[in-house]
Amino acid sequence: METTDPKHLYDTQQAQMNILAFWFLIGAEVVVFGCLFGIYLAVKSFTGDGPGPEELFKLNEIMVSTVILLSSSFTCALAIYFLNLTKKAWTLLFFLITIVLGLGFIGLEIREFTLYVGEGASISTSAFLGAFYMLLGTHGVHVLFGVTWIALLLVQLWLRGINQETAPKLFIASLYWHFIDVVWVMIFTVVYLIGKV
Amino acid sequence: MRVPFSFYVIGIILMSGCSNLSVLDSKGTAADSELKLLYLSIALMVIVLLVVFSLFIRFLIKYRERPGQENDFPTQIEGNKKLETTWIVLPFVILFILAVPTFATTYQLDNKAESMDEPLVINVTGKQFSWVFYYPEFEITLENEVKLPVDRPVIFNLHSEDVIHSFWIPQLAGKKDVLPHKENQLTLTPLETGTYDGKCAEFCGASHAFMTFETTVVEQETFKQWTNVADKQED
Amino acid sequence: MKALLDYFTSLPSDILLADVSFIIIAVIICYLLTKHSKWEWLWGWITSTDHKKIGIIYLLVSFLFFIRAGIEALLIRMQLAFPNNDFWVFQGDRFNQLTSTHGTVMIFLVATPLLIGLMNVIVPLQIGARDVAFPFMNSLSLWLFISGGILINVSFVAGGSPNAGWTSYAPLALNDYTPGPGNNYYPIGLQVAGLGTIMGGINFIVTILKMRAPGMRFMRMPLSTWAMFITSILIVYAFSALAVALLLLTFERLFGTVILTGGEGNPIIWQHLFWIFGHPEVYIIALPAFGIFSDVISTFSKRKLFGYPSMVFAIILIGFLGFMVWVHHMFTVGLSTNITIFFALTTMLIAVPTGIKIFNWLFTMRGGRIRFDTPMLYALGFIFTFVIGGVTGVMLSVVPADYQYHDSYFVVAHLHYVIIGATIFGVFSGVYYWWPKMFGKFLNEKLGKWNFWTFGIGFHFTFFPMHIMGLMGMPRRVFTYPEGEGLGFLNFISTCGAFLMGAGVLFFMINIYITTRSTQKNTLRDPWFSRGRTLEWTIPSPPPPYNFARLPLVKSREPLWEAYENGYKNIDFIGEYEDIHMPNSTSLPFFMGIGFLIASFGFVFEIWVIAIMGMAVVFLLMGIRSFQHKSGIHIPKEVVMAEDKGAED
Ligand code: HEM
Ligand SMILES: [Cu+2]
Ligand SMILES: [Cu+2]
Repeated sequence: METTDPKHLYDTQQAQMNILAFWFLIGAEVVVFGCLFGIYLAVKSFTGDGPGPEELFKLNEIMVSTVILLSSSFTCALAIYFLNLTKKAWTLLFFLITIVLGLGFIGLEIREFTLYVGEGASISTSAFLGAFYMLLGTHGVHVLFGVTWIALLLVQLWLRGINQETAPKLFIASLYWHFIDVVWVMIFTVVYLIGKV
Repeated sequence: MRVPFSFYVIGIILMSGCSNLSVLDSKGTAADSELKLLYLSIALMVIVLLVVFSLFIRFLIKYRERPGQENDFPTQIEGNKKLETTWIVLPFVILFILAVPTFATTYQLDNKAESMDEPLVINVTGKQFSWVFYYPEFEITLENEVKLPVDRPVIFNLHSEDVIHSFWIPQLAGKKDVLPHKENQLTLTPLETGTYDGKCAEFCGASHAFMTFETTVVEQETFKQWTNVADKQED
Repeated sequence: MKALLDYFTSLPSDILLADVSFIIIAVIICYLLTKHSKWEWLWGWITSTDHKKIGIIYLLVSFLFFIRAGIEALLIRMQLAFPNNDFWVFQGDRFNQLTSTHGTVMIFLVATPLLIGLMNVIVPLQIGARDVAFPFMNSLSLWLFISGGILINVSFVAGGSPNAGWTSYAPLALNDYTPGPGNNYYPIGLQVAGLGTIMGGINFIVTILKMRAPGMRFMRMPLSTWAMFITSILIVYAFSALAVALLLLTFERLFGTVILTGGEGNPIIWQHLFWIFGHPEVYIIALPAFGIFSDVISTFSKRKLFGYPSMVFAIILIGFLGFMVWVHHMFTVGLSTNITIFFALTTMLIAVPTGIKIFNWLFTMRGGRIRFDTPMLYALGFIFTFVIGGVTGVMLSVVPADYQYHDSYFVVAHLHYVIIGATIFGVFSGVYYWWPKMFGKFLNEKLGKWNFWTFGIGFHFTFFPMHIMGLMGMPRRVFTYPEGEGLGFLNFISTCGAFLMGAGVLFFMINIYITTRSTQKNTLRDPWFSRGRTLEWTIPSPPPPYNFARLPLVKSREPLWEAYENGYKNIDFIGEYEDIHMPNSTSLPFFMGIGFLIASFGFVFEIWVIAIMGMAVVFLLMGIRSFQHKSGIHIPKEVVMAEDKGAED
């Protein structure tokens, strides 16, 4: 039933439908993040007694997170490249790197938030901070979900090899991962870069 | 814009059924211009209703299945370009007639404040569940009632202390929301003396139904006397 | 024991009554299930992935919610029957709980899922598919909806109901003004149900895009399918906006953000987000009804739908414009004049495609042979009612006039004219129309007519006077009104009308009861009067689990009608019989629903351990699901063939 012929990995009707459904899910996610950005921009200047973006953000550290997440997108793409060649070991390796990078990103984000809270910039300090934590938090949870998801799929890949069931799943997870990355680029631009100037 | 006679007829018919159609019985400038549009839209919509319902009833009677027709295959058609074009174009015409005065009046109502001479300014504070009216000019404060001189423009500066309310004196003007984070303005000129009900129109909690106030419009002279007396009492 | 007794006697009488009736009903149901040894049968339904069964459960559960919210409507009307009335306990806050849950339940747990239920039953049959694209996700959607529904429904006896209106405007809906768990139910319960709805939307989009029968091009799809396709797209985007709005409200209430507060934030943000969802929602619950009416009117007039391409175009246009009119709910907020004007314009424009549809329906009937069976009666009632509702809609778009109508009973009248006129009439029409397809039995026509006339006449008595009440200056969501304003008479009529509507619903329930008990079957393929048009009438009633023994070959828009016209008994099916692959039944979605329910209670009462436990259950089950082989069951072609031959005669 299951072929590992690289040409036909995504050929089943179910795989096609899953991928299509996933694009619509991404559409929904675009609305979600669009609204979150909207909220953020609407209350960006409502800093109350708390710090504003200029005082708060430390661009250097954010640059590190950004580089980490962007390279995870790169390794993820590599993993898919090897997946399509049905090279299981390489696929596993690059997805593992992706996961590690993702975890690194989450770690940095948690560190960042703890720092801010330490400086007295908590979620209820001002409307601006509330929207900031909501937007970033939602993105962070997405990353966390992505990491867990890919990890689960890797176990399946490990146990069952590359076939018409595992390959589409990993492909979809990679789409998800790239999407999260794109959202991060938006966050980096809209929140951090524009916040600084 | 003069209101055609026929609109008054519609209004009277509507009113004869019930004693107290406050929205149709306008006594202020803002309510007046809103009422004109209300009549215009009712008139246009009555035309639409007449057309649709007469076609509807006609078709139902004429094309009902009669005994013996149960097994017919009536001819099948796809559509009719001419007819379809008609009912795409006609609505545009109706909407155009409606849209132009709508836009004009909206601008006019929203930009009243600048063009007013010698307006009476009243600061209104809404809170659960009462209204406070403050006249900066005379340093008078009233609760749940407001006094206005006839024929003098009024500016209400609306502000809320807690949740969102909405300021409504149906006979004088339509609503304006009373927001906690931002001041809104409502302008009008009362045209007749009398007592008018005012209410909160935005749901604001347990006693929303009781968040009412009384508006009294009096002669300018009377108003002046009242402000003098009230001023003295304050001291 | 004594403490428990004390607790119960301390409850207000209405809650006590609700508690007691909950318990009694639960006991009766358990008894009946045990007595007839039906537990296993029930489990079969719960774990089913068959779209028809899922659709039927959707219909049943949302009908129960309809009854609950309907009783609330009657209580509202009782309290408002006379000026200065004091009915039972429903004044002030208790009244506000009634209106808030009435609105919330009716929109989210009645109108939307009733239509999703019908979509489930009908879409695969109309496009010639054996199931939906994602049967597992379909079941999950169902159980998320039920979980969310249970949350909103039990709030009443467990901590208090939401009481900030179905629109839940901030700052009223924030902790400062409505503390306690009551208003937590709103964002949490709707979030869970909404998640299910989004999944449902995606499911139907993919189903319709990918699973149509051979030859069914887009412009050959029945109009119901078209409407449900566009609706699904609206669902995916509109409910995502709602998800963010609810997330925001959750953050405000549970995690202390201050984005929507009056002091530090901007409460209007909620209104924007809510109505960016809210207006498309109006079309989400109207478009499928339009689709159903298109099919019904065409079938019962025995005429091809007039102007099919323009009907499709109108649906698409409505769906598109539906996202650009939300500010018409906010004209009195004091936004800038240009914004207001823009949205007034788009709102007026949306009347054009709606008008196109009305005229096309009228001209579909022209030249036909109109029959007056119950589905058609509802369709005709719809045209009459909806035109009135549409016309008041245009009146509301006239901004200065809206300053007067807004938040008054005029709006209550308008919204019921469109929602009941389209959605509820549409569901009744569809249920009567497809009942024989679902169950192989007709609903009783005589009771159907009683149902229609009492409900319809009651409807106009209830809601027409509300237009005038609005013009008399009665604001909405007030629990009482003073003596002197002349409002008593109209309100009393309205209350009487509401009870007549209640009687209408009773007739419907009696009808279902009688039909279910009756043994009179009608398992014809095309039971109405053998003039069906679309694919669902080409297969047995009720259809086999796999719907189509062989896939249909679609050569035109109305294949069945054309077959009849050319003297055939049925349409062509493709080629040979084959083994059919169907999905397994599964209990995971049910348990995931329970996981969400547990987690939600944790969130509502802010007991984080429970919330985390519930979410852990959900994620665990998701993990398990991910590891499962999607094997499914195979129905051998011999069986299919035998069943199909058996059904022929
Ligand atoms: C059984 C017949 C029904 C009756 C008698 C009825 C009655 C009412 C009344 C009197 C109100 C106004 C409450 C107030 O403003 O104080 C109301 C509000 C509302 N109704 Fe109904 N209703 C019925 C059915 C429905 C249905 C079928 C739906 C939708 C599917 C619906 C949706 C709503 C909504 C959304 C509101 C606004 C709630 C709010 O203001 O928060 N109703 N209903
Ligand atoms: Cu109020
Ligand atoms: Cu709307």
